[in-house]
Amino acid sequence: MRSRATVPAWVVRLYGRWRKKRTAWFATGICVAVAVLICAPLLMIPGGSLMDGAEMRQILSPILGDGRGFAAWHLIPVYPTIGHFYRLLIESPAFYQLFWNTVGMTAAILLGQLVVGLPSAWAFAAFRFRGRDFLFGLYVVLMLLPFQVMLLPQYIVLQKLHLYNHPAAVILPAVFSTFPVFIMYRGFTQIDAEILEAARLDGAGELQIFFRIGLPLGRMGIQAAMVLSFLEYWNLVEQPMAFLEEQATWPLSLYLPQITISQAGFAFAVAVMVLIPALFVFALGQDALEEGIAYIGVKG
Amino acid sequence: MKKKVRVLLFIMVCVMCAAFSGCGGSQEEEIPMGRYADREVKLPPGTFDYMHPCPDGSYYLYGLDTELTYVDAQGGSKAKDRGWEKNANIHVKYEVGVADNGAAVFAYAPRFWNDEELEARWLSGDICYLYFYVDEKGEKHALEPHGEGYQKGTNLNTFAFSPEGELYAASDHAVYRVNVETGEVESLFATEKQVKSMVFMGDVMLAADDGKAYFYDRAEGKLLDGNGALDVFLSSHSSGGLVMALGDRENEQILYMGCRTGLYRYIWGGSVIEQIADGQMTALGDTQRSPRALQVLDNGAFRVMFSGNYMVEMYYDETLPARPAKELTVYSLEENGWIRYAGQLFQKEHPDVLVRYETGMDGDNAVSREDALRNLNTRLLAGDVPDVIVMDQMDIEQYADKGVLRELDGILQPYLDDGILYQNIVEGMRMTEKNKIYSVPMMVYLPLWLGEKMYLDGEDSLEDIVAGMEKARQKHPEGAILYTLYPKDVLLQTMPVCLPAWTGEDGSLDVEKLTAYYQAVRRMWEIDCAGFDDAGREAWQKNNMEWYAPEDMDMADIGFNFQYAAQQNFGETWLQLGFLMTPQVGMTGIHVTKANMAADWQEKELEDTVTYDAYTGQAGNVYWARTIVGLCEQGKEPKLAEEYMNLLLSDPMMRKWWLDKPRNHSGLTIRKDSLGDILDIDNIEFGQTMGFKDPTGVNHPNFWPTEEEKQWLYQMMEDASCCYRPGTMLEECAMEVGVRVLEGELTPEEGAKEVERKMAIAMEE
Amino acid sequence: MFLLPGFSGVMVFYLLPFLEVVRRSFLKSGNSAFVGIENYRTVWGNGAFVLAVRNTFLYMAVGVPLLMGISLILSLLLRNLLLRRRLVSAMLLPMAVPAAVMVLTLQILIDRQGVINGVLTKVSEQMAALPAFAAIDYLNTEWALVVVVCSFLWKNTGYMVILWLAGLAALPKEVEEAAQVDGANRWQNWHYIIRPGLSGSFFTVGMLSVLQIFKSYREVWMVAGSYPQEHIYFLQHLLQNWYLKLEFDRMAALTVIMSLVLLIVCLLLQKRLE
Repeated sequence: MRSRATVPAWVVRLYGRWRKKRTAWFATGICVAVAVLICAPLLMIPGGSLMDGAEMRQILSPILGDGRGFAAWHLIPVYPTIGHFYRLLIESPAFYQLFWNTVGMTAAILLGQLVVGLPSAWAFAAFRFRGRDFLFGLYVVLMLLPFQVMLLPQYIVLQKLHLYNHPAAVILPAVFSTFPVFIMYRGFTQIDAEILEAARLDGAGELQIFFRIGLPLGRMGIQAAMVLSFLEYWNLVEQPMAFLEEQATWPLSLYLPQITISQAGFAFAVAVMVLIPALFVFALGQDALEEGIAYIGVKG
Repeated sequence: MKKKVRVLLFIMVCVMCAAFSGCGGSQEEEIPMGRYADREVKLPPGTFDYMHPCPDGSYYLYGLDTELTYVDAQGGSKAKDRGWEKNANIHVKYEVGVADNGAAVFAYAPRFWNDEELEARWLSGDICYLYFYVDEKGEKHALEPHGEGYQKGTNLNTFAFSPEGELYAASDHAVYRVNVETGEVESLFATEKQVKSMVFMGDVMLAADDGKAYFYDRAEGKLLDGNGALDVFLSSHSSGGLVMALGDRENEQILYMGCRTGLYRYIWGGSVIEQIADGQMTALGDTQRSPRALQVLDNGAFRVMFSGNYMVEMYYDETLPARPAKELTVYSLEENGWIRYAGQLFQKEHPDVLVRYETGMDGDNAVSREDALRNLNTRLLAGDVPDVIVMDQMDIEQYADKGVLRELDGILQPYLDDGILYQNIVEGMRMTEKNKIYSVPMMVYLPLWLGEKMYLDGEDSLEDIVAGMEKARQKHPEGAILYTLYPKDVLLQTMPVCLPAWTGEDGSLDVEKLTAYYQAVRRMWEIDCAGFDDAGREAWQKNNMEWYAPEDMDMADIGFNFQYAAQQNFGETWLQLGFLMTPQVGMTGIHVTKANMAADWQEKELEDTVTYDAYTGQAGNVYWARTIVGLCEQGKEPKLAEEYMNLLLSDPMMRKWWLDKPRNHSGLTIRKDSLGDILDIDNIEFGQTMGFKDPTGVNHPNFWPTEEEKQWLYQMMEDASCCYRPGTMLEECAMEVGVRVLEGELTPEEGAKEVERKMAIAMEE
Repeated sequence: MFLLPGFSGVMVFYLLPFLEVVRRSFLKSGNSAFVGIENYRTVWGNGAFVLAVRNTFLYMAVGVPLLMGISLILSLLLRNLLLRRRLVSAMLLPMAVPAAVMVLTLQILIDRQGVINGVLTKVSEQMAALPAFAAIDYLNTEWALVVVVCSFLWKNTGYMVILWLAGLAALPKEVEEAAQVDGANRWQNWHYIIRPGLSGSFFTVGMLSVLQIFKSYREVWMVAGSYPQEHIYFLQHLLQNWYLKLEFDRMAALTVIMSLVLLIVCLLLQKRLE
């Protein structure tokens, strides 16, 4: 083992910097590899969306039920066609309506979750009250309940409230979902209890503490909750299927046809059109959220 | 602190109570009176498709090949002799426009090109449709559109005369003004799609396509601002046809629009479109017809002309409740045109009842059968029960066991006593456990094979078919024997006649029978495959997929559909397994095939006569139940549901077998007299489709089934007693495993074991 | 006060429905007669139930730790990287794909004659040294669970990374820096600083992994149907199939059992980890 004293200080510094960088490169490498691995199967989607029925059928014929050979996939179609996009964007006016339905529904849900879920999460994190643990446990269990079981009683409730077949039938239960509460709660618990105590001693009101301290410090939790909620509700399938009869009020996720090979190209095209806006909203929304929280933290 | 908690709890309870009490009790509301009703208008003799309304309440009727007929405001009619019918044999008319004074313009194509010059111009794309104009006195001259804004060869499809007699026309991208004397065309404005209707309001012309309304100022010669509300309305209401007409009331100009969903009113210049009559409660909602013209009458009534020689007058009836007090809910998993039509008929007979027809899965969307069933079950469990359920693709026994379905023995007994229905078919629906009938199929398919007599003879079992195929293979070493492209097709064609044999009395699976089935079908598939090398097989698949299976058509449909497959493929395949899916077309289809073969398929080297017979499979006397209707035990209108059932079983409904869209082959009716009627050549309602009628009006039933064939069919119907219902769990399993067996992944024995294992889980549940 | 609006909604849309489920678990489906614990007995003595529970546990036992481990390692690697945001977004991409299309993609890949088998066969043909490869029918053999777990990992890794990152970000940076100055090595850093700081996140991520396991049902069902290979027959299949058979009473009883177990586990874990 070399003693540190024998090596000049600048060598140590350089070595250290290189080492640091090496780790960073190494880490980046692994992460990029994983990200690529995760995204690889999705590369099939753009190709598929440009592929015409005959080609699709030909390369997938083994899956269609022919005894021999293996299916292949062309990442770039041999005979590309924009037919599916034409059908989707030009020939089906319903697409746009459903698209805006999705946007509206998701926006309403996320906003509602912020308004309703944030205080709840804060309450669980910042106050100790009797039955808190049990109540929180209950929240978690309610979050975990399978949808199939809740379908019937929720249907009854919605019908009693005259909400069935109204967009609110999907939005309201989602707004009151315990899922974002659970995630945001985690963000808040990492705030030091001492800070809160100090603020209280300083005579800050509970609302003030919530806005001034809670929100800025819990922002990672809020962000995570919103991102995950967005992904979840952008592709919501089962609830609208069960609670909305009117097709005009459906979100885009229900627009996908039943999967048959002859529809596959079209399905891929829909997927592209679902993904691209999602990415946009995602990128923009994250920034907006970050800034918004910072703003509230300063102003509130 | 404690107090606070208590207060909070109290508030919470209050909120809850408010939420529930406000919504829980449903009060009986008073239904206001008055709504539009309709009555049919008797038309003069002839087949009319169109109507041109005149401002004074009179109108012109015309069909593309039927003489223009004037009907005055009092209802007296007079044919205007314009020589339309004389032209019927030489012209194919596409569009006609009629003016208030009786002048008319035609777009047509000659049936035969007698004029070489014209034909040359037509071929060069210089002209497409030809046009001529007939003035009010009946003088006619050809019209050749020309002018700066008009590109040669553009079709003019929609015509409208302004009140002053100016002619306006529309192509798929523009609207024009046409000089009826010279044929000079002036392009007025461009449109996104084909304009379908034009109405005139003073100087302003409103032209509407399927998604946009254009307002054109004729005096100024410019396009005015559009109207967003109208655009939205047009884009969502145009399917199935939309008609427009102007009317005025208290100095307000009102635009009326009629379409499938109802009659709407739009006050000129406003932004609100309101519904004044619900399509479902009037003739407008009839899915079998589309509206062609609308006339506003002075007394507040409307005339609506529909395709198919049908006109109604819609009038406001103050004695009718605004919406029907009673509701009958009919549910089916998939859209069924026959059931939908029955609802319309029922509603016509009961103006005080609203028939709500709901489908669980429709169109292109992600709702699967399981999702739809789950939604249905939610409703059933929540007590929100439909009155009538179409049980196709559902587990009838399960629903009967759970007390959802009502027993039908009482309703069906009179029909059985009088021998109106095929008793054996109805009896086949008896549920073993409680020994009651809970549902009844309106139509059935019957299994058939078709082929040369030397391969098969008489009623044949699974083994007979295998033996027949082997014989056929010896004679034809190359190519396919059956019309099966993929392993699944073999299963689809054979499973219905075998499946009922696999379950024992106690509901257990008969593994031996299943193994035997797998052995047989595997052999069939092997024999079929032996006629190809890999490339040949691929080519045959590709060919057939492109040729016979367009994108939207399921292979299963084609494989099953006897008449279709038999006509298309015989001579390329040598044995045909399938189902007789429609009474008339199916029977004539067989006949056509046989006749064709005798005539010009000698080159196929047929050695023996072509024949057909029942295909018994493992079960024997199988019928495939279609449009299986059950009534709900807890439905809100049990009496109405009963009446609805009686309507379904009535002769007028049963005769309308072709209405079962989108499948288009609904089956052989279970009512004896209806089936006989359908197969009766003298019955003009049905005789037209396949027979051929000479100019003197005599029917030539050249491909019509003979008396002998009809008797054979009736006998098959009498014998059918074993019900096959698609969509059971066992079928799904056996199909999935069967594909693996045919692909050689599993042996038949292993396959049967695998099915047994999966079924064991299902039984455990 | 903060909790009230949220809780009243939860009450209406979740708690009351849940109580309704509890109520119905004591009634007979169909005629609503009170049958006591009859339904529970039926569920308990049900062969399919035993199978489903075993499979679901196995799925969780494999899926949850794997998912948590992989995503934790990734987020530790990621947390100081410049490319972090983009990489995380890329990892989240599978979540944004509609389930139907994801299933279609999966089918094309893992069918017995699918792309993966095709590639593997080609590779083994090319290289004589490798043993011959026989096509695997992934969905109809024991491989089914592997496929399900892999697709679960594929879809949810990004999801959990987000959660871990949120947890990591809340760790006070100063402590770590101070430790580094004191010469703490990476292991010590993890053991003494990061791990204790993340204990709450362990609970969150763990619970959400379980949630995602339950949610992955729709995809499994779309790929393999209502009666899949024995190893991927989960509790949700049982629930769904009962629902289709109108056996809501049993479903309710099963749900009550499930939620009791979950509640206990949840309370225990919470106590331990916080």
